[in-house]
This record gives sequence, C-alpha cells and structure tokens, in this order.
Amino acid sequence: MSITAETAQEHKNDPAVLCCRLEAGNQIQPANLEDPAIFDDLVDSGLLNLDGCLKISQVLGATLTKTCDSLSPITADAVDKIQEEEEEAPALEAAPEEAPAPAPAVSVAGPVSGGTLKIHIGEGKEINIEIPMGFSGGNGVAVAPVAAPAEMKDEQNAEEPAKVVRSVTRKHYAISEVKRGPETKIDGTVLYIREGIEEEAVASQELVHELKLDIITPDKYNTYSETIMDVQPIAAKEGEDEIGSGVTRVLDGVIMMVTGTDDNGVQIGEFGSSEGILEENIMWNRPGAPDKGEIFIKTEVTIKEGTNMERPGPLAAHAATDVITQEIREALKKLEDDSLVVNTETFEQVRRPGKKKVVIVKEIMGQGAMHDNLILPVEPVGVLGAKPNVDLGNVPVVVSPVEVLDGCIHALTCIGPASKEMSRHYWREPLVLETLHDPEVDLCGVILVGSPQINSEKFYVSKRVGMTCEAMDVDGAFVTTEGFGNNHIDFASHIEQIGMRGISVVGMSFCAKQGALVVGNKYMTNMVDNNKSEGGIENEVLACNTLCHEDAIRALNMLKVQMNGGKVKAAEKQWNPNVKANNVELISNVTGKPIELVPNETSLPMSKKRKEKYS
Amino acid sequence: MKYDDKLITMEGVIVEVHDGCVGIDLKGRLGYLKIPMRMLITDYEIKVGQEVGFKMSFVEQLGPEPNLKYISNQQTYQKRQAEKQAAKETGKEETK
Amino acid sequence: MSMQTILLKQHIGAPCEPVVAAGDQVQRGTLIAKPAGLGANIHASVSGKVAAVTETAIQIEADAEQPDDFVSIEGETNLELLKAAGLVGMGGAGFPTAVKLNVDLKGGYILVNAAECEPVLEHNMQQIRTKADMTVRGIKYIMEICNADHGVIAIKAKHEKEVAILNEAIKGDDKLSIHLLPDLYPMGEERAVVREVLGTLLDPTQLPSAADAVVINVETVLRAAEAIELHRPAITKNITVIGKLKGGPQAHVFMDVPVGTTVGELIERAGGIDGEYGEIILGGPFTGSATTLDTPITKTTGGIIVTQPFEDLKGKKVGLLVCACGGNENRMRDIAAKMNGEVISVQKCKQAAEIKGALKCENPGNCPGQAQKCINFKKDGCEDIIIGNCSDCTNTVMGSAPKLGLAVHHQTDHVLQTVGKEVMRYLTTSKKLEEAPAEAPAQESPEPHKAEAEKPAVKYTATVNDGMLRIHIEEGKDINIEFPFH
Repeated sequence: MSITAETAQEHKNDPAVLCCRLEAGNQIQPANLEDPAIFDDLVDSGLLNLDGCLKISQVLGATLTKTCDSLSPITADAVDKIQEEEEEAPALEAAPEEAPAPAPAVSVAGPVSGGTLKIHIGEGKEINIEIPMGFSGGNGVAVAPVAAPAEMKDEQNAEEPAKVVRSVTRKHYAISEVKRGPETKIDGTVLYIREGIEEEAVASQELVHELKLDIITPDKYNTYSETIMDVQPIAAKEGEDEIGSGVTRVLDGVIMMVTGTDDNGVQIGEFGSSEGILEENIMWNRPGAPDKGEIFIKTEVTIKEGTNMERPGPLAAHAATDVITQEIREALKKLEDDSLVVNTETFEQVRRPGKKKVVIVKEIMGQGAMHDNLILPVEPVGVLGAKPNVDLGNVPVVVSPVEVLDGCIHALTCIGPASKEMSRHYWREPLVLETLHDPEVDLCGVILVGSPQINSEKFYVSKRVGMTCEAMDVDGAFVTTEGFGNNHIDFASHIEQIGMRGISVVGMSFCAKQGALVVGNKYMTNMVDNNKSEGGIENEVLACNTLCHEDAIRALNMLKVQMNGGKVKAAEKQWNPNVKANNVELISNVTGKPIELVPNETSLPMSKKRKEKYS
Repeated sequence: MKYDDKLITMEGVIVEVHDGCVGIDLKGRLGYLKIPMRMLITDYEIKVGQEVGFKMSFVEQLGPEPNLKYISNQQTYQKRQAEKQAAKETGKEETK
Repeated sequence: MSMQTILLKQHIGAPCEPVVAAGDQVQRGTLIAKPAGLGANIHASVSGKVAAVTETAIQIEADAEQPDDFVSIEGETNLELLKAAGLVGMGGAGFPTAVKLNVDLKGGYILVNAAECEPVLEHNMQQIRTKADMTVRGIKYIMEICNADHGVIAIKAKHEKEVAILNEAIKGDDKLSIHLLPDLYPMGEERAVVREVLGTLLDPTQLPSAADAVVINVETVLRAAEAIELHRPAITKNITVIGKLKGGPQAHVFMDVPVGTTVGELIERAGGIDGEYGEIILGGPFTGSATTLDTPITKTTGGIIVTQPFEDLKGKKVGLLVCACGGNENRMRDIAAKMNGEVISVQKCKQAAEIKGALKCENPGNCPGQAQKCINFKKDGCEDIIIGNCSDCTNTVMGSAPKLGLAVHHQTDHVLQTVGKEVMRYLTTSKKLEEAPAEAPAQESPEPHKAEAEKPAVKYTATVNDGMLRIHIEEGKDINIEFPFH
C-alpha cells in the first residue's frame, strides 16, 4: 500500500515499485509507491520482479515518462531522470512541490574540488537546509573548526586500568590410551578404568538396569552407537578449589560420551535419528563435539522401560555415567607428578572500565525431562551438588564467564542433536571466549536462563532477564539459544525485554529454514544464525548447527556496530546463506584476519546410496 | 518438494503427556504424532484431552532409494528387541 | 393511481412529524409533514385522501383524476422558498438544501455535480437535454443565495451533446463555466468534484465550504429553480429504470415521478420484469442496495435496476474488499450470499476512513494500493473475491489478484452484464483529459492559492552555528542556492 514521506525516507534504499497505475507525466510521490515491507510476499507470489528496479531515493520527485500499472518496478527507462543520492533529504522532503526538472539533486557525496554545490527549488515553503561548513567555503563565512567526534570519544575513554577479577587455570594431562584394569588410575598417558565399575554405576541408580562401557578409539569410529546424549570433558578441581576459581585438571585426548536406550530398546530422550555409525553422526571439532582422534569412554545405559521420556530416566543415565567419571576425577586429583602436565592455560575474567559493558544471556532448555540442565555441580560437568534448572524455576542465574568455561553446566538436553549444546560446548563456549578476550568490550557476566514450557512462565523469566540487565547497567547483550521450537518465544521475549531498556542486543540461534523464528518484535533486528547445514535444516549430525567461533565473531562485531550507533541491515525474509558469507568477508576485510569457516555434514562419510542421492 | 505450500489445518487431541514429550492423536483417524516439549507451544498447563491445532502440508518422498543408514538402524533396533525379548523369557524360565 | 406511500424520512436527520391525519383531504402540494430538528418539509405528491398515518409513512389514496397544478409554497426570500419546498440533495445524500445553502461563500464556488457517476443512470443527462435553461437559472439563484462568484458545472467529457447544450446555455455569462471530468468512478463524489475542479483535496471530515465551495446535485439545482420561479414544492423526482426488462435493457427515464410511487409501478411502466431476475437495486450499482417491488421512491431515489440472476459461486470461499466507493460491508455480504459464496475474509481499503458510521474515501478515485489486501485474501484461503472499488482501485486489484489465483468479481458485475456493458476490471481511461473544447471560455482550473504564490520576494534567514550553515526559507519560488567547494 502507498507509503508516507517518512516511510519513504526509511526505505530510501529499497526498490521503488508503483502501488497503483500512474500515468505518464506525473511526478512520483511517496503515495505512489508500494510499501517495501510486503515485497518479499509479492516476490514469493510471483507478483513482482525487482530486476533493474531503481531505489526509492532515485525516483522520488522524478517524472514518470510512461504510464505504468500497479506493482510495476520503476526502471531507469520509465523516469525522466534518476535522482542522485541526496544528503539534504530533509530539506528536499519539506518541499514536495519542488520542480523535478533541471538538476534539483544535491550532491555532496564527494568533495568535488573546485566544484559547486547547486540547489534549485522551484517552489516551496518552510525549507530548512543545513550544510556542514567543511563542505562550503569562500562564502564569506569563517569556517569554524569542528571538534572531531573521535576526540570526544577518546576523552570519555580516559579509562581506569583493566582489572582481573577472577581466573581459572586449566592444567592439561594428555591421555594416549584408555585401558581396563584392576583400579582406576592414570599412569603416564594411560588411563585405566577399573573393571566391574559398571555394576556400581548400575547399582547407584534404581532406574538403570544395565550399563555397558565401551572404549572407542579412532579405529572404532565406524561402529554403531545408540543415540549420543552428551559429550563431556573429564576434569576435576584441584584440592578444595571451586568451579570458577583456582586450578582445574583436565584430560586431553579423551572424553565421556553418554548414550542409551530403555529396556525396550527405545532411545533415551530421543525420537530416533541420532543413533547409527558414530563417524556419520558426529560433526567433529565443534565446541560441543568430540575432536577427531579423541578416545571416547562411551557408556550405553539401559534404563527402565517407558522412562526414556520421563524426567528421572535421562537423569539416571547421566548420574550412572557420572559414577565412572567421578572415579576418574578422583584418580586425576591424586596425580602428583606435574611433569604430566602438557599444557597450562589461564582464563581470566578481565573487567575493562570505560569500555562498553556487555553481558551474555544464554538460554538453556528447561521444558522438563531431558530438556533440562544441571547448574553448578561441585566438579566440572559433574552431577553432585548441582541444581536442575527446572527445579530453580528457570529463573536467570548470573555466573562468571570463567565459571561457564570451568564446567558449571551439565547439559541433559537431548532433542535436536545438531543444535543441542552438549556439556562440552559450555566448556569451550566460543562466544564467551571471544568476548572475554576482546579488549574493546567489558564482559561483566553470563546470565543462564531456562526456557520453561508454558508461555506465562516464559514471560515471567524473560522479565527477570530484563531486570537483571537493567541492574547490571550494560550497554550491550547477546542472547543465545539452542535449537528451535517454543524456546524461540522466550528467546524473542528476552531480546525485547533487553531492547526496550535501550540496551543494544544481538540474538543468536539456529534458524535457517526449519528454525525460522515463530515470533518477532521490533528489537530483533540484529540476529546471527548458527546454521551450518547445507539445506538449512536440523539434521541428525551431532552439534552441526551449534554456535561456533565464526558465529561468535559475527555476533560480537554486530553488537559493537550497534553499541557504537551503527545500523545493521534488515534481514531478508527468506534464509539466504550469502548473508553470512558477506558478513564474514566484511569482518575479515576490516580486521585483516581471515575467518576460516567450519565444515558441515557434507564433510562426513556417507553411505553409498546417500552419496548418489545428494551428488 | 512439490506440495510444501499446500497448507492444511490439522487438529488433534493430546493423549499422552510425558516429562519430555506429548503424544497427539490426530482427529479423523489421520494418525498419531509424538513431539518433544519444545515443539509444543503452550499457553496453559498441558493436560490429556486438550485439543491442539497446527498447519501442515503433505508428506512427500524425497527420492526413490531407501537410505541404508536408516535401514541398518532399524535392523539393529529389531535385533535388540528380539535379544531383549529372548533374555526376558530366559529370565522368566529361570525363575520358574 | 392508487395508494402513494410517502415516507417521513427522505433526508438526513430525524423523521418528519405528520401534520395531517387519516381521513384528511389533501391536494397535490399540501404540506403533510414538518421537520423535527434537521430535516425538510414533505408535501403530498398527489391529490386524494389520507388513508393512514404510521410511524414511518403517510399513505394517500390518490384521486383518479390528478391535477396539473399544485399548492404553491410561500416565502419572502429565495432561501425561504427552498426551505418551504422541502428541497433536499437529490444526488442521494438528502441533506436539506436550505441548510446547506445558508452559507456565505464570499465569492467562492458553486460546483454543480452533473457527473452522473453511477454507471447506467441517465436521468441527469436527460434533464440537461430538456431543461438546460432552467437548470442554469437555478445555478444563478444559488450563487446569489451563497454569495458565490463562480458557478462550475462538472460533467463527464463523454457527454459531448449535453456539454454542447450547457455551453450554449451559459454563453455570455463569464461567471459560469464547465469542468470536464474523465469517465471514471467516483468522479461524482463530493470531495472528488472539489478536487477535480479546484485542485484541493479535502479531508474526509471536511465540508466543501473549507474550499469556499458548495457542491450541489444538478437535479437539486433544477428543483431549486422550480421552487423559486414556480413556487413548486419538491414532490417529484426524475428516475432511471433499467435492467432485465421486457423490451430490452435500455434505460427508461421518467421525469417528474410523484414521490411515493412504488418501485413496482415504475418497473411496470418501463415494461415489467423480463423473466428470472437476480435482485432489484434502489439507487446506482455502486451505492444502491437491494429493494422490493412495494418500496416507495423518495426525493433521493435515482435509479431502479432489475438485474439478471447472480453468478453461482457454489459455496466457494470468498473475500470481500469493502471500500467507501461501493457498498458497505452489509451490502457486500448481501451480494456474496446471493452469489452463494461463503465469506471468510473481509478487508477494508486503506483509504476508507470511517466518518460518523459511514466509510469515506480519503482520496476518491486515486488508489492507495491493494496488493497487501490481495495477499491477505490469499493467506486467508479465499478462492474468489468480491470488490466494490472505484475504477482506479479495481485496476490495482486486477494487478495482483488474478496472479495470486483469486477470481475477481465486482459488485456491479451483474448490473453491467444485464445492460450489456463491460464489467469493471482494468483501467483503460486516463485520469487526465485533453484540453476541453474551445467553446468553453473559463476552462482552466482556478488556483486557490494563487495570491500567495504570486509573492515575489523570497523570505529567508541564514545562520552559522556549530560548524553548520543553516538556511531557512519560509516560502518562495525559483530559489537557487550555490556553494563553491574548497
């Protein structure tokens, strides 16, 4: 439908399409133009083809040279003159009667040396023209030096020094071999797991009927596995240290993997699809996935029939597995030989006063059963001492970024293997790492918030998120979520609650085709899609569509742009992978650092038949 | 897909409620659907007997060839079922 | 003649109060009801005996012999005569003329609406052909009453014969002129006439007086002359009867039909209904509504249309595009029901503004775009749509609906098909007209803001502040600003 002068100004770079028939000889006004907001629908319906279409700013005020019908894109051959880019738009807008003909355009785009800026107004009222003096001269007016905005910024940034408020040191112990033995111990680079430990694991949980332990070495990557419920680092705190401080010991080259079914062979917390040949189902080296070459200590837990979809079932499978992990942790804690430490890294939470203050809001699942997360166990990614997010009422819990990296989340989430954030994901969370290490921003914390099932509860928690951000007085916020579905409702609400407080906000989610957002609001202008899959759908490949380094960089840059008053271009209606490619290119052009994109499921081996189908 | 824009309205009844999923009988003998919680948008507490609605198009085959991966998964599942059944029966006999 | 039913409400305002009782003898022209509040006198249109006085009507049993003369009205001034005559706007609105003309236009414009905008109606043109001189005198009386310097007759250019007759009739009077209109609907809408003639677009809430003008229907002008010259009350109406009639679908124009005559009588006079029919419309195809044979005509009735049977949509899902130019939602639903369509979506044109319960178009005849509405229909699952739009909007709908797979029906289809005219779909007529015929002396549109535009000097101020050069120009023409660059 026809648009107003204000809408035309907002959409000045959008295509100019006539909403109705307009006869030759008429001057093109905003009221003659169709609202660009419906172009996607029109293009989808085959009603519109925007090829060769001029921009709104190029046609306003021009005269139509041939009669065109409704929904005609205005092309160069249909107007007497293409209007040039006008920086003086407000002035011209105020004078709609202005004659279009000879050189009405105001071009101040380039500093034309020795050139003349000419404005001609045929007729008008209440015209205001503002010209920065830098552009004019020799006009009998002294040119006053203008304070550069950059200088002012520097003044503001006369900052206090950065301060380390918290740090965690990770000591890495390399494991090259995992064997069974009479006791659980670490001998050099060999990890021994006590034979018969399975029985104790089974005994620890009433619902667990059976537990099988497999050591999966790379040569066994091509074997069948039940659905992968979780991938966990094996780590332990040193001495009395708590999560988020002190020293953490971690085993390199080996991970825990939880899998399982119920007595009837039905996958736990799953609707099929993720079980199968391991190497066909794992997107290697994703933050939450195993790295290629690592050894998996894989439990295959059998739980009581019919409990695979009930809350106690998946929890029991995790708890039983943790009996084994805990015994390894104990062995790890006992190590006294520091020569086994192959690498030490320290994660510091640095507060940077004077820099833009940002917070990361991580939405975690809390709809019930396997849609749950255990928060803040005693040991990294442990079970003991942790509180289930669902029991906490899904309300926001503020943690330190280094607590996140130190394993404060034990993830039970099982639905959507491709977009699920495994426990290991938090351990290597790219957005937290990237933001933590960026000297230009001040990361003050991470807010973990659950996603409840019922809408009223969703809005209850999102309001708390808004209040928390308000109290933190942040300049910017990231909101991330995993997977898609009803969690997008609270995801959108978090963004709204933060945005309405005048805080810049960037949302991150798997969207693409299948995860297209179910709701939206006016603050959801800056979104990063975590999709990596070729077809834009949630496939069965573990961690394929989770947040990666490349997404973190895009989100961080997007937030910086917004915090500094820039604007992010509106999204296209349909998923277009080129948007990401363009952004990545733009960012690497500016930073000078190439961004290497991670591979997707097409890099994995496929059965012959699949290969034929997809190639 | 050829028919993915032919949206039809479907209605169903919640017949099973689990902690992590719900089972839905589609009205008019049109099938049964089991979906994880996050795929259900709820304004009220979930109860058996509540009616639900959604739009869907038709299910189309993506190609003529079965995917061996899924066939193998299916076979594994059936084999396990058989093993478990056998184990159960053996157990029963032992207790006799 | 038998029973005449004269409605007590034939105008905008409250129903009139009867001043006669059952059994009274009345003459043609006898005052039988007076306004209660805003309204206009009602006179007996026939001589006879009052048979009954109900809450809504006075029934008069007409004498077999009807006189040619009538009871004269009285009044000191012309305006009083119009009031006494019970004259109301005969284009359909029914606003009491004496109230409307009680305005000082201070040299402004009387715009005579002779657009006869509704397709198929012809009685206005017939009036011009037969009573041009009296009509022109009516314009002069009204200009005098309202203190207007200009009288402009707005008429569609396609009526070449009538334009020629009018040109002859106004010859020598430089205060009178003719403005030609394109053959589009709704050129006769009051604000469309003002916009076309004076170039001023009024808000839907504004009256033409905001542009120093009064818009008056051409038949009202004639009746005003009759009231002033002949002291004749408003007791008759010119009517077009057309449609599926025995003898063919051509128009039958009946001049000076006594108010209170039934639709059925007039149809019989026109030959009678020819077999199966769809509906009988009282008024024009766009703004009229379905009526019955025993309905009496009033001072505002213009047309009676007998349509062919409706197309059967066989229960298909239809959307209604309601706009100010055509029927309201009730009328559109009525048509949908008669076409056997199930209404599942109702969209309103963006420009249709609701003013005092009625829809008015913000810019009559200039489309605001309809693509979004068509997409909405599609999303709602419509297969067919019924629209009541003007020529321009209909053309826009045709730009998108068929491509979306929506079958388009216009509310006037059954009327236009009955009379063998092309249905409303694509626009082929230009909104602009070639220069008018040379005989018309005062052709060019007057410029209402001329005086202001002629100011020679450009008032402006220029200031330098914060490194910005600010120029403010209050008003001006042909302004040139030049800055040399460094």
